[in-house]
Amino acid sequence: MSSKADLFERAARRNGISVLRVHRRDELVDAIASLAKGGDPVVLGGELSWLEHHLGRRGLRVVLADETEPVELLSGPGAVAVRVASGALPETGSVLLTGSFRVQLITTLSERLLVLLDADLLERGIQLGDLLRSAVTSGGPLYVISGPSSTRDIEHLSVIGATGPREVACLLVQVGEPWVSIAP
Amino acid sequence: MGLDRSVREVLRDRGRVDLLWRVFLETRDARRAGMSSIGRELPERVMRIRERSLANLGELLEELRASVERSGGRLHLVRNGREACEVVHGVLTRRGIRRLMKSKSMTSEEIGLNGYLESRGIEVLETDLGERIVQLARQRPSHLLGPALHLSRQEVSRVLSSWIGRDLGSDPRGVVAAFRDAIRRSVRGFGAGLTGANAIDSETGALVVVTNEGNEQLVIGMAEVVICVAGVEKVVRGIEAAIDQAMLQAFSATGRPPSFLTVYGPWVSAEGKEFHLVLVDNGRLRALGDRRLREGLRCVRCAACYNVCPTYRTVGGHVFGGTYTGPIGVFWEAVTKGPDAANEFSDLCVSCGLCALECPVGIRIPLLISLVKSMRRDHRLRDWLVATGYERFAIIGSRLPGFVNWISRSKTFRALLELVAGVDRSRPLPRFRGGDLHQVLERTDRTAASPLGEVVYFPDTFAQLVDWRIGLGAVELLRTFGYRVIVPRLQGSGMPFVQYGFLRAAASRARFLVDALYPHVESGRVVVTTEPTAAYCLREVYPWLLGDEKSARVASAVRDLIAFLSEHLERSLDPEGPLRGLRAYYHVPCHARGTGAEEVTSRLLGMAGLEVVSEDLGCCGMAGTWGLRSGASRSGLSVEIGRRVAGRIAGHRPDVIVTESSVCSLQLSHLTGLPVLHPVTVMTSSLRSE
Repeated sequence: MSSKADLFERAARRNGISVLRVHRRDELVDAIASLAKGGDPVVLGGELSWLEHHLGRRGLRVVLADETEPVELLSGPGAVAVRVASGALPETGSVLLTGSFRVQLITTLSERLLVLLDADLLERGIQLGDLLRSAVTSGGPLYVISGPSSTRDIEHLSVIGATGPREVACLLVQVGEPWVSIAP
Repeated sequence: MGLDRSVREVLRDRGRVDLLWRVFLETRDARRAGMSSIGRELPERVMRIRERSLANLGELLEELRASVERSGGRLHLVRNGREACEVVHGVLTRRGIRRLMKSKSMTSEEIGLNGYLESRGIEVLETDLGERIVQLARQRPSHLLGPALHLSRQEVSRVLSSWIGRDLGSDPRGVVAAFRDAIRRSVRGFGAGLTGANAIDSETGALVVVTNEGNEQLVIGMAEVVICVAGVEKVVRGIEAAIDQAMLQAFSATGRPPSFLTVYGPWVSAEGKEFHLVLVDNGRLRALGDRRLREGLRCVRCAACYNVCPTYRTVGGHVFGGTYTGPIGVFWEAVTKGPDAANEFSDLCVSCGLCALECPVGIRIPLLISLVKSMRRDHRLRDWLVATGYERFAIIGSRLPGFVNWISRSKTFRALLELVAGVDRSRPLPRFRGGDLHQVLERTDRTAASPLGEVVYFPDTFAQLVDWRIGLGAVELLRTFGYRVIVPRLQGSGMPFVQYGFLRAAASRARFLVDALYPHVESGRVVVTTEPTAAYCLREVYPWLLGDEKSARVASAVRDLIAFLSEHLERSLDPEGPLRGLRAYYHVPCHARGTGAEEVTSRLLGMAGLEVVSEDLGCCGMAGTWGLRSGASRSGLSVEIGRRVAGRIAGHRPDVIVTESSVCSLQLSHLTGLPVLHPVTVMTSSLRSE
């Protein structure tokens, strides 16, 4: 187990993000299927379109973020968004998501957010400055997510917040090589 | 008089005061745990970022204009709130937009944007839960980050039930869940969204925004027209610097990273969105030009100072504040609305200094507040009488102790004193021992061998004139350990001048004392004190007031007596001494906190055989002469704070209280009925006989 992955996991758990380690493609599909329970639609970020088939076979209703109108998520059943992290900050247990406004908005409006994080990315160390500069010049907001939506606005009691995902889970993908290689 | 009435009203609502105390003690502890986990690196880096940005603000604003325009947005640099409102209204009108959804923006509160737009027929929807609650309740935020923290869950439920149209019950989870559904339904059809910003990068034009709910992502994501309203001081150079600043704000507010930190930009490729950045001056650039005021512009708006402010956490932000509330709110109100607005509630700052210890970017908030107080045009005669009269009173008391102690208990005299100087007749006055420290020292051996050198002892007014036993104990301890002690005849530290905002008199006193002590410091002597407020003045206040090398040199030579003698005391204290087994509550005075002396003293009290208990309850509420002053907003509030602290102390079941501060001693003995000792008294009683 890498120390940076451990550091990330500890910090993320402190912030209320559940972390699950997966090592193979079938484990990844199983994990998503189990976390996306409840019959809510699963909205996949564009880079995960290859999962549509696998998740569909598990009986999940899958849609692609690029083909989804964010406004549809404002009412009705809660969606589960599945995204790939562009990076992470081990010290604060934060995941970094990049993408168009539309895809990022779907992330915000999902009831549950599953983030796939390449453990190698943690190990190699993220050049945050490069990532930020790339994000602010290539368009679309950069999200740094460190926990589920929360608020202490009422008597300072911590409860699930009013806007963003109620739950955030991170699948730490550890395959010993760049994880995208497990995509077909 | 308005302030007295407001305080009286809020103190009647015990439940609300209980709620505020619970909330702010919890927040303080959670924040401290989080801040200690990240260490000093981030705060120090952000402090440098803030200083650098403010020093180059003009240049950064020019750079930002080019960046924003290059990235497809438009920068509006406006002089005041009116102009800012006009710009926002103009943007909406040009696009035919009649509905604006908002994420949290204190600057929009500052400029009165909601009222301006609503009076012109534009619907404004706050999406932040706390902001929406106060918007629906037609109140103003009581806290920078938790606008509705003053409301009970039942009150919140009533407000939101009325909006949503069904009874939501009082379980916050159910209330927020219902709000979640309602706000999602409500944002449809809003063409424009407005947000604040935690930091803005001049190089790229990017905004950095933090929230824990994620509502700003909803607002900006849904809107076709995006408007950001922020103060000019939010601009920094470099995206990493902007993220550092936003991250520190979140950590310092809650002790953890924000659930959502978002970087926005550029706007040219933002899927058809139109972007306007409205940067508001509103007095900030003028403050930037002032040597002392500019320090406040470092503020990252974390509200950490609120958690420890004894008066804010008792009365809340609707009494302690205007648009901006709490300790740093005095500064922001003064900058954005002028000193008169700030001075409507600046009296609630008691100069305890705890807020400065919490500030992650080192703003000397109480000194800034003293500066704001000094700008008031209605300086009060009674404040001046107390500031100048307490030392005269002490001189008379030292010469005529029997008479003054007797008259201090006379109802007629106390009524007169209350009428003339506003000293509350129900508050205890110190009892004079008679004589002063110099007279006593003249009768004692002044020629002790001095193998370890010479030190200067600065007793301040209490140990000099009121109860010289503390001063004598200090001198004897120093002599016991081989020091020759010089006790110059000096005036007191002059803290009341600082506390009431008489800064010219304070500077004059500071000059006198620094000039008197400087030759000693130049000769290599340290200056020891037994009164934490005296040390605070010498270390913190005088260098700030005088801004010269001499005061800085004197400040660097100041030592707490017990800490100075700690190595000697460790070898000489007898745990089997006369105080053995006494259960002592150690109350750390505000002005001793953060100096390191408190840990040393606590340890040494244990070595003297005492069973030491302590907890951080903050200020006891006496705060120099403030707690003696009549009125609900002074003695009334002082007693309320003091009783709460006394109640917690009583829970420890101590036999005695130990504290260094003469005024804490007065407050705690009055409200607990327990004997109060100075650590010097404990140490002198607990030395091994050999």
